[in-house]
This record gives sequence, structure tokens and C-alpha cells, in this order.
Amino acid sequence: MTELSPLSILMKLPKTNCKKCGLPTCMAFAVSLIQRKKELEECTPLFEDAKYAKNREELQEMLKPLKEVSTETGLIVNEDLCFGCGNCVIACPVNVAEEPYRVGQGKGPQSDKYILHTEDGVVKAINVKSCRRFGEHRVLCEACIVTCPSKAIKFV
Amino acid sequence: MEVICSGCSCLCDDIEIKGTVFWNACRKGTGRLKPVEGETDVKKINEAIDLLNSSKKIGIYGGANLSNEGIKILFDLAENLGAIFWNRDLIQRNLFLKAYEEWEIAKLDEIKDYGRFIMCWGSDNMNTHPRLLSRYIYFTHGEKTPKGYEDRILVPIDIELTPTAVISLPYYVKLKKGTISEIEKADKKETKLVKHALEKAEHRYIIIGERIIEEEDELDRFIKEYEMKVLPLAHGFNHYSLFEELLKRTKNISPYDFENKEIAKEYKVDVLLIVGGNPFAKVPDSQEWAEKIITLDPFRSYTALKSEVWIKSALNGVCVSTNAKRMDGEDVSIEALYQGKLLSDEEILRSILEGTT
Repeated sequence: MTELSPLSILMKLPKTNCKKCGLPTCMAFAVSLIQRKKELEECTPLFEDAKYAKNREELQEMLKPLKEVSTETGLIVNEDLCFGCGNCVIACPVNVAEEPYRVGQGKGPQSDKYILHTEDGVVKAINVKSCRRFGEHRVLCEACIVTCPSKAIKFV
Repeated sequence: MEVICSGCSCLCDDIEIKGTVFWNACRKGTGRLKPVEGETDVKKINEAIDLLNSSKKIGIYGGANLSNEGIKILFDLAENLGAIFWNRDLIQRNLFLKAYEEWEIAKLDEIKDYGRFIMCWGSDNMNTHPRLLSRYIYFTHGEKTPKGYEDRILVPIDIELTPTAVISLPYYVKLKKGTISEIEKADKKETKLVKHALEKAEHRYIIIGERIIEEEDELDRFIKEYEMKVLPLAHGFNHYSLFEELLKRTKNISPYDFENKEIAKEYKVDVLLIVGGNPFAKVPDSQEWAEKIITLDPFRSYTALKSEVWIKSALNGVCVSTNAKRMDGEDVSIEALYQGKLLSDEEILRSILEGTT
């Protein structure tokens, strides 16, 4: 699967900077798609002109994971890749801060304020608004990404 | 209520069952914790006894998924029948077996508290024991490691870039013959980093897996010189107890001929009793070991399918309560999650023992 980035999306867009989407350039539209501020359907030439049909299908496939994004932080857990090792659960600073004597000791969380936990061998995310990447004082925390051995966690 | 998972020798004790969902279990554990239904056919046990009584040379294979008591009965049976005992770990004799005989075994709690330097030697524990790092030794916060994994250095040494190596890429060193001398020479970026960490660390631990390429003496010297404590990784959830009992009875951790009281070199028998193993799917030439096979297994494995007698037994630690030893030798008592009509391996082995004496 092609990596989801503004540049990879731009390559599939018409690149005519027609401004029909309301944005000045196709690059700006690509960024807005990733940020989920715009929908692909707003690029009308892509749907009207037959020569873009193949690109449109590829884009629709590429953008599928965005529909599964759990929250506004853009957290995606690829359940096919995750095998439930729980590294992210124990490495998440919010999880540890909530239950230092449990999560800090390697056990799965029990309170209702954690972000990540494993269910049937797959990581699930809830309360993602508590994530350090979200909110007014956000930081670029990558604890769950760098500790994932199968690269199942992504932020888009 | 929290239960213990018998998916591997980590024996994670924080698994919660909410409805039909297993919380905190990894994929391997989730697969193991499902109930096994059915009933043990007593006729099959009698068939197995008849087959064993009519055979001259008997072999016993497996045993790492039995309870502590089951293992004792297994060796009583081997002694009574004068059988040859072996399993996959013993015939593919890897260096990690040496850990049980000679090196000091590290306790998981000790690594959690003091382990600032952890070397994974030919062991991809993210695949074999998925929660070992998160539940016990790397991501956890300990007495001398209050920041968890940020206070520790994980050094993956393996033949390829495994999922374990991915977690600690800067310290990854490719495993080949002569890796130890490469680390000691420290003339490359990664080996320089490893050597510096190795010399700086106060407590050093090494997790030994199956992919051992280095010479035995060289690794032995390396472990002793840097005073490392060892954590061996093997397949079954109770392999520690199996090897401990084997060492106690035979003074050795090797395939053993209980008739001639010596280390077995050949594995050619008339009847082979396989207890919780699937060698036909994993070990080359295993189909040539015996003319007839008796298998004790909760599942219809490839080996069970090819057996003359397959006795369906209860899954230890899931359908029947069991006592086991964790990978570091800690005693753990596992309560059954489900009740069923299947007999445990222990009960079946006891019947066979009574029937063959």
C-alpha cells in the first residue's frame, strides 16, 4: 500500500490548481485531505473526467484508513499487523500516569481513563482526547509508535 | 477477575475475561485461552496401553506443556518402560539448554528492577513471547529504572532484523560467527555503542534464544567475563520444570535412554508416545523415528492425524487447573477457565503408568 502522505496524494490528484475545491492549490487540497478537513469528492475534476478514473480509485483506496481514524488525533491502529504485545500500552505516558502501580508494572490498565489497551490480542484506543498529541498543550509524543515492533500504529 | 495465560512461559497474570473477550492477552494467548470441547475416549487409553505393552523399544517425546505433576509421572513412565526420552529442544541441542545446567538464571522481577542492559541473543521474543518485554523486563518501571524503557538499553543480536530488533535499532548487531569478537573490537558504529553500554552497565542480562551461531566456549566466556545473568527462552509453557526434573533424574539435559541409563544418540523406536508436541510438522526426519505413534494432544495436529492412537486430552491451564514454573523458575498455580469432560494429560499418563506396570 502506498504510504499516506500529502506528496503521495498530490501525485494522484489532477495537479491543475483549478481552485474548484476552494483551495488555492492541489497541494493544499492534499494536506486538507490528510487533516480530514476536506473530502475527496470536493475535487470535482477527479470525478468528472474519465482520464482520472484510475487515479481516483487509487486515491479512494489510499484514503480508506482515514475513515478508520479513531479520533481527531489521527491515531490509526492497523489490526492486521498488531499482535497484542502491549508495548504501546505500557509505554504510553498517559496510561502510566493514570495507573503507575499497575501499568508502570507492566499490567494492563483497569481504570476508565487509559488510552490504549489490548482486546483479544489487538490494541484498541479509547479516550484519545487525553493523548499528549491532542489539545492546547500538545507535544509530539511518539511513545506508542516507536515501541511498536510491527509498525501497526500510525498518526495521520 | 484476573486469570493466568498459559500461552507461553511468560505466564502473564493480568488477563481479564469480559464476556467472550480476553483483555490484556496477546494474540498468542488469545488463541490458547479458547475452550477445547469433547470427551476423552477411554478405549483409546487402553489401546495405547496394549500397544506399549507389546513393544520392545519405546520412546517418549515432548512434555513441555505438562503440569509439574504430569512431568513427574512422565519420567516415572519413562523409567518404568525403559524408554528413550527426547524432544525438539533436546535434539536440536541449542546453547540455551546450557543455561539450566551452568549459568545463573535471571529472575524476571530482578531484571525489571535492575536491568539497565538487556541483550537478546538469537531470540526474537516479540514473536515467541510477545509480552515478555512489556509485562516484565523492558517497558516496566523498576527500582533502578524509574523511567522504564528510557532507562534501559536493549541490544538485539540476531541473524536478521526481527520485530525485537526493530524496537532498538541503533544497538542491533547482526549475528554471525565471530560476533563476540566484533563487539569486543568495537570498530563499527553499532558495536562501539554496544561495547560502551556493556562496560558501563552495573547489572547485565542476556536472553538466549534458539538462533545460536556463536561457538559454545566463546559465548560461555563472554557471559562469564561480563558477569551476565541468563534468561533462556523455549517453546512450552512449562519447559523450566521439564528441564529441572530431567536434570534432577539424569544429571543432564539431553535426550536420555532410561533403559541403558545413558545419553541417547539414536531415536529409533517401535512405539513413540508423543505428549503435547507436533514434531511431524516441525522436525525433519521425525516420521522415521517410530513404526507406531501414540499422541496425547487436545488438538488434531498433523502428528495426531498420522498417529495410530490419538488420545484427546484437556488443555493444561485452560480446561484443567495446573501447576507450572515460569521461565525464570517461579512457581505459578493456574486455575482452569472452563470445565469439560476431557481428562487431563496427568490423569491419562497415570492410567498408562498403572496399565503398563
